[in-house]
Amino acid sequence: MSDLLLSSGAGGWVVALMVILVIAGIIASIILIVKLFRMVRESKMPAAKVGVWDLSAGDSGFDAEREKRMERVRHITKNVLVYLFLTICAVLAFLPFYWMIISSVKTETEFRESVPTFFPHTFQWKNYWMIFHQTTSTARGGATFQQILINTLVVGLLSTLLGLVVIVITAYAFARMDFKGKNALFGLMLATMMIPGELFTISNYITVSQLQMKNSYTVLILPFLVSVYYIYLLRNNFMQIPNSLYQAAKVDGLSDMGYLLKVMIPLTAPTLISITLLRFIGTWNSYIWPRLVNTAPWQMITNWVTGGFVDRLQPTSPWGTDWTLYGGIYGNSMSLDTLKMAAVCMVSLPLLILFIFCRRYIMRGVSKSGTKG
Amino acid sequence: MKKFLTVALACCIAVTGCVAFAACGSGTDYDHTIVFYSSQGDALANETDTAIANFEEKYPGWTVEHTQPGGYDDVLSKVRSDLTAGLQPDLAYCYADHVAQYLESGTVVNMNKYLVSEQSYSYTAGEEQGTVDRIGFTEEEVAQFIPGYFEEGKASMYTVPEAANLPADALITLPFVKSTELLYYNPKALETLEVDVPETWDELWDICAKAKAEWPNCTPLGYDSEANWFITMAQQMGFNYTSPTEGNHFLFNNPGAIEWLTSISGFDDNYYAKQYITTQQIYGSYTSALFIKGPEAGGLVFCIGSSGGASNQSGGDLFTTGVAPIPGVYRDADNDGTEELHAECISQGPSLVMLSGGNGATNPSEKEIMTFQFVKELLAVEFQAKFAMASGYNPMREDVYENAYYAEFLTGKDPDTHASLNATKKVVAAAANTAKKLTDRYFTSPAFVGSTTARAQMTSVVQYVLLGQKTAERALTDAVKACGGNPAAQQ
Amino acid sequence: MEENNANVGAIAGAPPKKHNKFVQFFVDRGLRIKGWFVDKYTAIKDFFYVFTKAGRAEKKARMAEGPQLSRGERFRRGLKTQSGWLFVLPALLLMAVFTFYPIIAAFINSFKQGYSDMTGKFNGWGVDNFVRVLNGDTGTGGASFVQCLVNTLLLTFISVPLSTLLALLIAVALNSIKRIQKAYQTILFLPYLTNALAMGAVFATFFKIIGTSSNTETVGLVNIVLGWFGVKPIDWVGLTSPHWQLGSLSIPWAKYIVAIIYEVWSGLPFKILILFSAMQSINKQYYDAAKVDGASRWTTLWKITAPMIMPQISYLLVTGIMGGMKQYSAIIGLFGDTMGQDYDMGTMVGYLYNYIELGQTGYAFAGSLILFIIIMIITFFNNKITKKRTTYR
Repeated sequence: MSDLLLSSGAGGWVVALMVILVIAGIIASIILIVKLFRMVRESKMPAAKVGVWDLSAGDSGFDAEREKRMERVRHITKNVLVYLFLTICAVLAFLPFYWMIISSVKTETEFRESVPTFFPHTFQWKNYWMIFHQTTSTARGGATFQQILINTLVVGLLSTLLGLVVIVITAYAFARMDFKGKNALFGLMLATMMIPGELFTISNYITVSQLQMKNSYTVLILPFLVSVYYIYLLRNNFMQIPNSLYQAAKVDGLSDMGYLLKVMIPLTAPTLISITLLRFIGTWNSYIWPRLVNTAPWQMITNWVTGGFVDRLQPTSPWGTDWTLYGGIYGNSMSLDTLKMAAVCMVSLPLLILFIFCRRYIMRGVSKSGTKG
Repeated sequence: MKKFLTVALACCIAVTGCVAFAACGSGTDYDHTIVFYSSQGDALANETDTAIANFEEKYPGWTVEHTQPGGYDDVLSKVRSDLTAGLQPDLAYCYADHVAQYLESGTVVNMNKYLVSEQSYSYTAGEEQGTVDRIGFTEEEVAQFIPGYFEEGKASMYTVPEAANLPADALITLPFVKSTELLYYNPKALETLEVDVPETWDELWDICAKAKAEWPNCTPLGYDSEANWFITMAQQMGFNYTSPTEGNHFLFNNPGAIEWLTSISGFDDNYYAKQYITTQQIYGSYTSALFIKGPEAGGLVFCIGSSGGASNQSGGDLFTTGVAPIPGVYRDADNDGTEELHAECISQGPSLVMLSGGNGATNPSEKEIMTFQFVKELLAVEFQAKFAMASGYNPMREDVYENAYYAEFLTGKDPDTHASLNATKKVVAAAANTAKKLTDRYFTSPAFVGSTTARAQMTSVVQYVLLGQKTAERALTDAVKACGGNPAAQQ
Repeated sequence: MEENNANVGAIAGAPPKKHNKFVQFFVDRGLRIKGWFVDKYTAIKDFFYVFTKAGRAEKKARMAEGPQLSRGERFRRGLKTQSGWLFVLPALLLMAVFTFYPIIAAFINSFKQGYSDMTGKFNGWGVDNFVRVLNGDTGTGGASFVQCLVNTLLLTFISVPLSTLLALLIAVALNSIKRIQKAYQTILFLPYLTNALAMGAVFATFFKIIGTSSNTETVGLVNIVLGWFGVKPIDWVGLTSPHWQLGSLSIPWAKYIVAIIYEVWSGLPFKILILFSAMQSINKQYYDAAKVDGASRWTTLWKITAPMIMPQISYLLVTGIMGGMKQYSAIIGLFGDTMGQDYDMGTMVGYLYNYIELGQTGYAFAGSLILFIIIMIITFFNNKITKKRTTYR
């Protein structure tokens, strides 16, 4: 075991700590279980009755006391195991994020050490400077990180807001209005959800090409404005609003649009916020379509990440002219993992920050979609 | 209220519509804008800017839109998808394999009608007009084009489909700049091993054995392009690769190929098994990254890579990179009883292809003529010299070598300051010097629809065999099948 | 829903003759299938009723009964009752262009033989594309359909149950604690927000071996950890990744493990959230009742919690399998653009994009239709199974 810890190197203390925690947890659990069994034996009760929940069953005060103690021990054991299990899961869930963040500030040499370090020896923030001053291999005249970020934000906001308008009015029509062929149309729209979106891609590509919409924001927004799933979700939400409200509004002289704006939207605001956030996240993560229809200056942030980042000679930098991170030992054609991790951080962190501030809405939106379907 | 409803809805639809069409009309006047796709990186694109500036100055009212969709394959897939939608560029970087696929669309321009045309032409530029004094090159200029490169672009090199609408003698592409594969070596390492630069593969393998004994951690040889290796060896050793004959394209499953593949394989005691070799796919990056580390640090002794990538091969402070032709084999090909050296090397690098009628231009023939004027700028002596210096590629015309500027560069001096070049530029100059002497060794492989597939399959074949995952027989049989050929008909 | 009623009707209509279990199974299936057809037939008949003589007569009679209105009035009324169309118009227009038209186009184009998207030309109509796709005889060196299908099915049917089970365990654990529950819940939810391409790249670094065969720089975190237990380094994601060969089919098991680990990791948050919120919404009275009855914890879990959240579990399995059938970007993130070596980790969707990129849209269209049919079949069976399950409620 000591070999194990030593081999993980100077920075391996995090692993060591994790391993120690896990081992301590296991030992504690074993001790508790042993104790528990000893107590069971001492109580001289038939083992079958151990599982009984009813504490008042004991016929003497002594037994009740013992039962209570056992109960507590069992409770602790259970809790220790549960927390241990959850901790391991949480650590594993978080490990990739941790790895991504520390790798992004490591030097490439450290990253490639045969035994990886769990905490960087040196923090190389210049990695970030390097990726910001690198255009994607495909781009010239504007496909810097800034440009890509602006693209992503503009497309994200426009497509979210416009999409929301379309979703709301469509959902309203399906939920509250009567018109011929309503159900048939709704059924048809729902049926398209069964068809893999990839089936559309080829024809859509030809369509947008013929409409000469390539290399624009439009082409990133327009095909995805309608989301049948969210229409369905919102329609159900609208339908939960009691009909009496609608009648009352009609009596008050509110039109359909007025009713929608003044009653329904405020009532379904939480769902709307969730939809907005989820749609924004969806746009942020889009990759295939932008790559297909747009050239680099019009692409989205995930396209930027897959470009590959190299130790490129920088004519000017805060650290002098003709500066490189590693003096050219990795050449200027080798894609470096640390730089890639820095870029991955730039894509993932905004989402994590969004999550911290809007955790409730995002989780509600996601869980809501689970109750239907 | 009802009014409000209607107005609001109308607004919604209007906004959707506006967004839909606001960005469409990006305002480019494609009647007077030449669209050019290349795979140039930032540095080379800056060089190209001078050619664009020259063109725009000569022909006011006309502009060039230079787009870099990515690597060669990205240019291919972009042009192909653009052809689907009628948005093809007027001019594009190409490999012969790519053009074979474009031909089907019927938009590839036969440049013969412009090449030496003496006619003048008056063109429109917005409200105004201008004149092109002479559409084509002069005969003297064309005579300067290096024939080996120039021949590549003739229709006879292709399997031209009927849809292409091209005569048999059509000129489909013009060479832009060319490169070949070179052997970059580490002179310090060779000195330590007390050996000379190898001329043949056998000599090279001997040196590899010595290097491996000296530095157990090193990998003596890195070959960047697996496919090129196979195709080059087919030429050098005289076994078949592909043929342009319709219906019988894929000939690479033959005993000669099997023998060679087995000799470098990861099976038994062959070269890969001895850890002599790595390639771009196996290493995961251009092997130049390993070469510049030096063998002491687990790097390479030899690196075979493109002359266009010479700037990545500089050993920096560690060593001064040496450049030599790739090794060959001695064999008696013409049955005269004496064995001669076969050290053919592949000719690659971008050519230029013109496509007509893209982006809904209303004046296709005028655009073709103006695009050709831009081609002339790209092939002008001054520009070719500058571009060759920046990239390490070979210029496509003989008289560039006589250009004082370029000649001084080849001697290892900076033509601007007359000072000695830095280490990186020195390697570029050395590579250009070496490649210049090899023009008689150049060869190309036939291009047809499916030659891209064959190339890609060769990459896989070499990989599988090196890594010991498939025997040579098995890998080649699978490759023929993947190309759509009939494995039984081969051998 | 209709379907269900039809089934019930069909079964109820037939006199319940007792068979042995084996025969009964098939009788049930038969009746159900029959019921399905009868139901569809009735629906179609109903729909076309208005076009029959009797239907038209009925309509005329109904019209005559109602109040007579002027033409203008009728138009205005019609407009008012039909104003819903105005509301759905934007969505309808967009879907017509970007959803309905592509579906029709895909159906038509997949039957064009030797279709070239560049020229729009083709040799004739037929099922040639489908035959070639299924035979793997496309002659383009692209991905193999059978390989992609096997990969997709294997990955989906291993990773989805696995992650659902794990999610169930975690949700039960989460549900049984009181302190810092929110914190655990939040951390466990984090992977949901990530980008498959980005996190795929991170996972790849865990498994990647960097260096040459004679000079390895690092064997990656996972290999190092395995090394502590004496396991030799495995090339998980690289070119020498181990695999089993079954004829022309290759089973790259090491890459499968990597992909499954990623799928489980990225699929867990959603599943935990759904199961956990389902558990939270179970009425506490059930548990109290169980306590009074003296049920053990295990019994409580299996007799109360599990049946109560069965709809959610089946929902997760269905959506998980649907999602699994469409996986693509995670594979690109983990194994690069060629989806492993020679597309040996290709998926169904990956197959489509591969052939779009190769300019062979005919094959891509055919492949997408086959994918559609497979998804339909799976959905059909899913519905059958989940319907049975949810009745326990």
